[in-house]
Amino acid sequence: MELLIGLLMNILGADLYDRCPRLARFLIRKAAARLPEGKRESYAEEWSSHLADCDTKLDQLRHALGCWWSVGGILRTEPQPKRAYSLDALILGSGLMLVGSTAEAIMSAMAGAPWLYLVSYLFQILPGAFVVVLGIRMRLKDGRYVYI
Amino acid sequence: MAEDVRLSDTTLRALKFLLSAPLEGRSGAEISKSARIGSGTMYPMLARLETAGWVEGKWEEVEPSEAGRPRRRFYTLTMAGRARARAAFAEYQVAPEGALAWNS
Repeated sequence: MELLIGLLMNILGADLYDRCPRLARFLIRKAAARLPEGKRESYAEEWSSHLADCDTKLDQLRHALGCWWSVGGILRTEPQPKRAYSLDALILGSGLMLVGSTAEAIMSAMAGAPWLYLVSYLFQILPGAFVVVLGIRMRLKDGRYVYI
Repeated sequence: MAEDVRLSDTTLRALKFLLSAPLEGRSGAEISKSARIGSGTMYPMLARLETAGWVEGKWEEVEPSEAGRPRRRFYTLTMAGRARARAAFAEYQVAPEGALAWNS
């Protein structure tokens, strides 16, 4: 029985080892897809060329996992979207402070201001309190605005 | 104008390797192997160095279809990068066992 398990484990291990390059290519594709559009292709090509230079299949897998891990670090080197206080967000924030029911608060949360929902929910718990909330409007790269 | 970069042990190892042949382009695989830096640390570090103006990357001039493999990207130190790296190494001294220590 032990011999059979050992044999099966050996076959499974060899099979996994053979699949390492395919898995590595898959991981590199997925890692590159997490990058901004302008950088995807160049990093995919660079990582693929590095993959071709790896000595063993395990090195290839290690490299691919490293590429996956490196995405976070590369994204941190990207310029961050501009954050700006804006009057319309201020009005939106102040308006939400007057929300009297949970249903309305949920609606406001769905409109894209989840933390204002939380504040407005707390406002119900503490009637009479008035908190001035500044909404923050964030401009994304594609030009859209997101309120947080 | 090269900006300041946080000089960790891995960054210094990569800079040391690039300084060993400053005019020669080195691929990511070469840097990784020679400086013993994993891909997960090396690529963000190279991106930081490139953004700061210490290194510049250039694509290998081959046609992938002819070469039968993807193009490599070669990194070289810029003039400013070389000066900054040398200045950084002047502040450090390499201990016999290879560890970096402050030069007092």
